Amino acid sequence: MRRIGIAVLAVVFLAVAGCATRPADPDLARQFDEINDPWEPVNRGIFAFNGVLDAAVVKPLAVGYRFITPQFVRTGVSNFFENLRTPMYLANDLMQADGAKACDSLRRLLVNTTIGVGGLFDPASHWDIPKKDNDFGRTLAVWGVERGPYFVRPFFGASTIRDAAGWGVDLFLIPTDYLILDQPEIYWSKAALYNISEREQAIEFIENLQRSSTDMYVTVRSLYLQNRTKEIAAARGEKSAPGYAFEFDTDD
Amino acid sequence: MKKIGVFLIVLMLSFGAAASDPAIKFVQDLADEIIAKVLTNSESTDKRLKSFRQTFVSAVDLPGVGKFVLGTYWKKATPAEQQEFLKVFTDFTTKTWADRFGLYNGQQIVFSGSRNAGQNQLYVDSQIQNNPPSEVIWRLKRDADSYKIIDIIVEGVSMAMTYRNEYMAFLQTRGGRVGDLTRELAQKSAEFKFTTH
Repeated sequence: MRRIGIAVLAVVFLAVAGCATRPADPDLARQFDEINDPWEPVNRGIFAFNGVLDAAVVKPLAVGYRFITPQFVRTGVSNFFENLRTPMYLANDLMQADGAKACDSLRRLLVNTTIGVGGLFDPASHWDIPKKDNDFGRTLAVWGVERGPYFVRPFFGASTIRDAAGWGVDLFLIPTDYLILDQPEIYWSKAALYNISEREQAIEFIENLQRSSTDMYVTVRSLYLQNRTKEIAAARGEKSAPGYAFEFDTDD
Repeated sequence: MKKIGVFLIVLMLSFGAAASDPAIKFVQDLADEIIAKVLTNSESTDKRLKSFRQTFVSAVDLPGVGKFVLGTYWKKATPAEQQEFLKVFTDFTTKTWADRFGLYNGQQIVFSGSRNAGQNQLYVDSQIQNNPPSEVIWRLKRDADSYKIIDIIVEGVSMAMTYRNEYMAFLQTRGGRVGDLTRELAQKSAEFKFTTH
């Protein structure tokens, strides 16, 4: 009953907030189609909510975390989480039939779990098996699923319909999470520390963006979509090259 | 998001590669110059910004990029508005990128080759040797007997495309008034604070 209520509420919310309208100008219309963000008004609302949460809670925690820990501890924490996620990368490498990448992920997992003391250290990188991530959103793309509209996830930020679905699947591909599933305090502490650790590494970059952007919503959307296009091209084994032309030399 | 951050934050020591390719040599020399003048230099922020500006403005086709980022609105602006926009855009972009280059961590940059991009343009492929390695593509156009940079693409994120998305969205909600955008950028530029270390 409650679930139906939420679904009805969501539909009403979408209907009330309305959709973005396609501009008449051909240049703007092309950009509108490429970006594919029909739920922009709703997405902006969620983005604003995430921004408030970040400024009030997540960023202060990240800054505090940096203040109280030395760099080698933070590197260890980041390595540890990376190692826990490697089985998920491996699963996606395999589903994308990328043998070379799967081999690298497996070697990283074995080397870093053993010699790297449970993943706290990253000796694999020193032996020329650099980090490579992967996710089910990319797997879906390799399988031919279209990306669908841009979508800002509450709490977790920029995504698309396909990538958000993929992200949901990836949560089930991290085997160690099953060990702590019945201990919510540990599970959520782990999740919190992971997100704070990730946020800490982006402090300067996000500040630079905030100082330079006239509209963070548009900037983040642009960065996310361009970066994903590149990652998906790489997953398909294509050489990435920006697909737009600088036409201004011949225009006038 | 974080990843792109790391990619942009870490720049760059030029290294190895086929310096016989003139396009690669152009980018490599530019990187060396930025490191020498800006990153490993202990002068005041003002002085370093000044020498960065000199290098950046002569190497990057900022008038061309500025025109591109306004898209359909460029032609709708008056020549005076266009000139004023280019002036402010040059100033602001220089500051933003000086700050990004300033977040330097000492990784090496390895050039792997250049590719034709049509229309008298080419890409120079490079990789910053951080972990994981990040891909940086320099988009150049031939300019007499030298080159000009028209875009820097870090892990798929194009500088020119990002500005274009942002500014066209801005102008769309402001009735296409380029003067409004210029004022907004001038204000952000005046307030710009550099990252402290």
